[in-house]
Amino acid sequence: MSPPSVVLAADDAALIRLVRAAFEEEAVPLAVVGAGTARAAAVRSPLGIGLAAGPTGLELALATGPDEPWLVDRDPRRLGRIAARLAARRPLGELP
Amino acid sequence: MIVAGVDVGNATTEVAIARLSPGREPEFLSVTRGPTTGAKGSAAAADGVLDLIARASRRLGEEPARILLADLHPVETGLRELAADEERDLGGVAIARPVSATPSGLGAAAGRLVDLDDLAGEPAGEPVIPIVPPLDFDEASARLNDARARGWRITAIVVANDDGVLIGNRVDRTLPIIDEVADAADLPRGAWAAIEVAAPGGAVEQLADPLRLAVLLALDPARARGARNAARGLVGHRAAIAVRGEASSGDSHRDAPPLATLRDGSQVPVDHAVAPPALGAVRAVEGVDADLIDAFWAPLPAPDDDARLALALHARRAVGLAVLAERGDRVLEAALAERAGCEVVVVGAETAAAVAGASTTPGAGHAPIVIDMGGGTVDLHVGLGGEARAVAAAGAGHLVDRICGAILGVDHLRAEQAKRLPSVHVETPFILRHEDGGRTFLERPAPARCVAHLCLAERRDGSLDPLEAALPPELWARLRRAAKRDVIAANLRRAAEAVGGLPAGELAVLVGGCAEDQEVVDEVSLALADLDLAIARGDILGRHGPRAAVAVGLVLLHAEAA
Repeated sequence: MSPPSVVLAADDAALIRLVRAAFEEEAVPLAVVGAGTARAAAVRSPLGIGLAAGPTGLELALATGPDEPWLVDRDPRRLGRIAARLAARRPLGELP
Repeated sequence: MIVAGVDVGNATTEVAIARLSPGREPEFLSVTRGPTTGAKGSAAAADGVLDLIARASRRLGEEPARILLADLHPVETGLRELAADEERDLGGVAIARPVSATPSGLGAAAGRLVDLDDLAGEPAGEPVIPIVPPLDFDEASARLNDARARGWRITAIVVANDDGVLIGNRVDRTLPIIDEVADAADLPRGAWAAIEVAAPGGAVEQLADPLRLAVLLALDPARARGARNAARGLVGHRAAIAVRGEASSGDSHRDAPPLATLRDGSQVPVDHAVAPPALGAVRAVEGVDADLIDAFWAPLPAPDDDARLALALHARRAVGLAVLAERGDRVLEAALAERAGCEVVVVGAETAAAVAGASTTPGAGHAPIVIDMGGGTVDLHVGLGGEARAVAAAGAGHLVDRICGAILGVDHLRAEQAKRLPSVHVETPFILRHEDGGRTFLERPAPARCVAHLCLAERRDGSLDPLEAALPPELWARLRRAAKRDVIAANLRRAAEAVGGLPAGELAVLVGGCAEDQEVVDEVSLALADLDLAIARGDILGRHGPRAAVAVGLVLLHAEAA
C-alpha cells in the first residue's frame, strides 16, 4: 500500500530534484509520474494536490474546485514546499 | 438655531446636529461618526470634528451656529512589556527562536560556533556547531560528512536555508539541526552555544530550564541565576539556540516595573502580578507626565488549560495600562472656535450627557443606571431617589485592543478588528474551522496566504484576513473574551464599588461603542448577574443603537438649560 501523497507530473530531472527536496524537507510523501497537467495529477493524488510544469512555471492544482491552477511559481523548490505544507496543513510560508 | 453636539472619543468622534426652537423638543437632523483625528481633546481632533460637521452641513444645507462639547479628560492607553527581549537582562545569553517548522534531529547539544569553511582545517579538540551558509544541501552535506570523517566532533548544526531535514538525512538524523536561521551570518563565530530541537508538537525543555541552560553553556553558578530570563524567553518553542556572551548580572534593575503613586503617598508597582488600586486612588504613574484622575491596568489573560502558553504569556510580564488625566488646557475648544467660526460651548460632564442620550432609547425613560463603555473609559451613572452619582474609570475598548494586540502580535488597528470579528482556522483551501469547533466548506478555495492560519472573518462578505499568531480559534476566542472581562467587566466592578454599589433589580442601559459588542454585553451581564439587573442595550433616538449617546445628550442638556 502506498502512502497518501502529492503527485508531481514531470519528466525534467532538475525540476524533479528540487521538488523532491522540498517534500523531503517537509517529510511529506511525493509520487512522481510522467508529464501531464497539474489538475490531472491532483485527481490522481490521494491528497487531492497535484503539481506539473505549465507555460509560466510550476503549477499547483487542487482536485476539487476550479480547473485553473491554484498557484503558479517559477521557483520549483518554493512551490514544492508550499504543496508539501498544504498537504501537512502547515502555514505555507513565503508565497509566489 | 442649529447646534452640533460633539463627542470626541478616543477612537470615534460623533456629531449630532439638531434644530433648537423655543418651547419645542430638539429636532435631530443628523447623527454621524468618524475616526477621531489626533488625541482626545487635542487641537488635531478638531480636523475630524470639522470634517463631520462640514459633511452634515452640506447635506442639510445649513451650518450649526453653536458647537456643544463635553468636559473632556484625556485618556492614554498603552502596553508595557517588561520582559521583551530588548528590555530585559538575559544574563549575557543571546537567544534565538527560528521560525522553521522543520528542524531536524532531537535533543540538546552544545559546542563552539564555527563557519562551515573552518571544517576544511585540522579538527578542533572540542565539540563544534557549524553554521551552514546559503548553499546547496548536497554540497553542504558532503562537506559536513567529510569533516566528521576527519575527526571533527559536530554536535549540532545551524543552517541558513530551509534545509535542516535534508542535511540531517544526509549527515546524521540524530543531530539537532535548526534551519531558516535568518541571521546565521551574524552569529558570533567562536562563541559557545547550545541548540535544542524538540519532537514535533513539543517544546524545548533543556534550554527553557535555567540550570540545564547554564550547564550546557558552561556558566558558573552565579551566572546561572542571571540566565533565567533567557530560559523563560524560550518557553514554548520547538527549536532554539542560546549563545553565551559577556557576563551581565541578569538582575532585575532593568526590568523593574513603573510605580504608581497613590493619593496617600504610597506606591505600588504597575505589574501584571499586582491588582490595580481602587478607582481614583492613583494620582501619578512613573513615566506619565500628567496629574491623574484614575489609572487601571490588566495583564495578558492566560488560559487555564494550556500551561505552556500561559507560561509564555506570563514570562512577557506585560500589562495594558490606561490613565485618565486631569483636564489640562482647552486646546480643542480654542481650535474649533477659531476654525469653525461659531460659538463653542462646554455643556457639562460626559456622564451627564450619556444619561440624557440614553434616555432617548425607546422604553428606557430615565434609566437609574447608565453604563457608557467607550474607547477610553467605563463611565457609570447611578441616579435613584433624586440622588445621582457618577464616576469614570480609566480603561475600556482601547485597553482591550492593546491586550489583544499583544497576544496576537499586531498593531492596535488590527487588534481593534480582531477584538470584534469572529475568527476561523483555514484547515484546507476549502474547509474553515470556527470558534465553536464547527466546520464550513467553501465553494472556491481560500487564498493561499490564509491556509493553516488563524484568520479574522469579515461578517459582511466572509473575506479572510490571516494572522501570524499560532493560536487555534477556540483558544483565541477564550483569550479575547477574557481580555474584555479583565478590562471592561473588572472596571465596571471598580466603578460600582466607587459609587457605593448598584441597586438590585433596576434597569441598566449600556451605551458607547463597546455596547455594540455582544461579548462585552455578555461579560458585563455576568459581572452584574448577582444584582438581578435588567441590562439592556441603548438605542439612541430609536435608530442609532448604543452609539452617539453623548453627542445627542449634549444637545438635550443644552436645550434643557436654554
